[in-house]
Amino acid sequence: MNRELVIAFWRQRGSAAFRMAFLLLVFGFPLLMTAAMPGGGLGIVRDAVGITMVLAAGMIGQDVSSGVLQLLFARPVRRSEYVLSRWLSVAVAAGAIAVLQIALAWLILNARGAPQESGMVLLTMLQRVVEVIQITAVMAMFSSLVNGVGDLGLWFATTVVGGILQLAAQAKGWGWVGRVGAELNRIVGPDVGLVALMRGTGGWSDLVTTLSIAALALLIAVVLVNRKELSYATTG
Amino acid sequence: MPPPADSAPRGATRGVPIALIAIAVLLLVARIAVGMYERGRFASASRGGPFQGNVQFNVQDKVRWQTIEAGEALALRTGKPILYDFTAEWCGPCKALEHEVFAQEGAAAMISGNFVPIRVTDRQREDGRNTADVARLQSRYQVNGFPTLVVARGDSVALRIEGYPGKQQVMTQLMQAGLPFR
Repeated sequence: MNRELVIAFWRQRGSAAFRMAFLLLVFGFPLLMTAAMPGGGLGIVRDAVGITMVLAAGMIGQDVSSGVLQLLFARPVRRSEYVLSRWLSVAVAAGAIAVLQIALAWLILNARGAPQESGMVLLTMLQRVVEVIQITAVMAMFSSLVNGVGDLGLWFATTVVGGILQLAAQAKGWGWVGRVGAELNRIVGPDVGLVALMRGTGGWSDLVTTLSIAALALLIAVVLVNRKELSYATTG
Repeated sequence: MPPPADSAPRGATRGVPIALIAIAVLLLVARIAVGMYERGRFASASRGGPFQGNVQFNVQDKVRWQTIEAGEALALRTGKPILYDFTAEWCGPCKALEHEVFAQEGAAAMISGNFVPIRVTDRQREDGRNTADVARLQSRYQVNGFPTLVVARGDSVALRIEGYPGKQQVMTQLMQAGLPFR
């Protein structure tokens, strides 16, 4: 990991007004909903996809399209170090924000007379962090494939294709197509199952699968960035 | 600041960390192994084999379960609390709950008399997805494992039991939650 790269990325994201406005929206809206409907409990803020997406979109691809990567790789920076630093930057920031969101939701629910079990809240926080680790790793993989914020397009395309395959599998009874669809949806939508595991009502496979997808996605991202041939010529 | 230009040879910048390869391979192997183990365990459970206390399956459930739509409409009409049973076909403890509580005449009568019972069966593992109604209820009541019993009065949750703590505890809590003016 490269501390300078991590800090530089945070600064860059913090100075992007459009992203920060979106981040405020995906952070604050579920909290308002929680305050308005305390009966829903922590269920309203159970998803960290929005927060992670806002921070992760274009994490590598934008550096390619803006020419930053060409300049950076002119220096003796290891490409794997760059990819892992990008992943860590987003994962730490998104994980911290997601945990803060749950903590605030917890306080709101307590104030609104719908207290939640503290053990469950902590488990939910931990589960959210694991989810963020996977989403960020998959976004790093997508972002190393396409320039700009095309990784968002790949994310949605994977979600849609996965859903269509599962619908087709249900209609036609094609088991293997359904499994492919489920796997695609699993890649873009982590299912950690940590709470169930700790409560003794679930197995280890969801957690291991999540971590496995994250590690494989990071490995693929490193390989893809290693294979990138960057042009130093200007096109304008 | 990036390190100075002469600190490392250029060819060394494109390596893949061995640790990352090792972790990815290890987790992939673990995923396959755990998946196979758990699939075998669930298959054993659904055949009625020894799992979670030698529970035999395919028992006669005596609770009058409602569909989600009909049950929610009935609850609005009668004012009774809804008892949601979040379950899954492959779930061993769910079968134990079914066998020891829902298949017993007395318990079933108490449940059907005091609640509008709605069974919400997860099909994620079998079909890869759930219906919109099932997904909505799982999200609303934060269902993270099975079985989960939720007693809902309007927008508020009167009781929540995760896992199967045993017949005695389930019945005691259900009876308390089913009292009209609790």
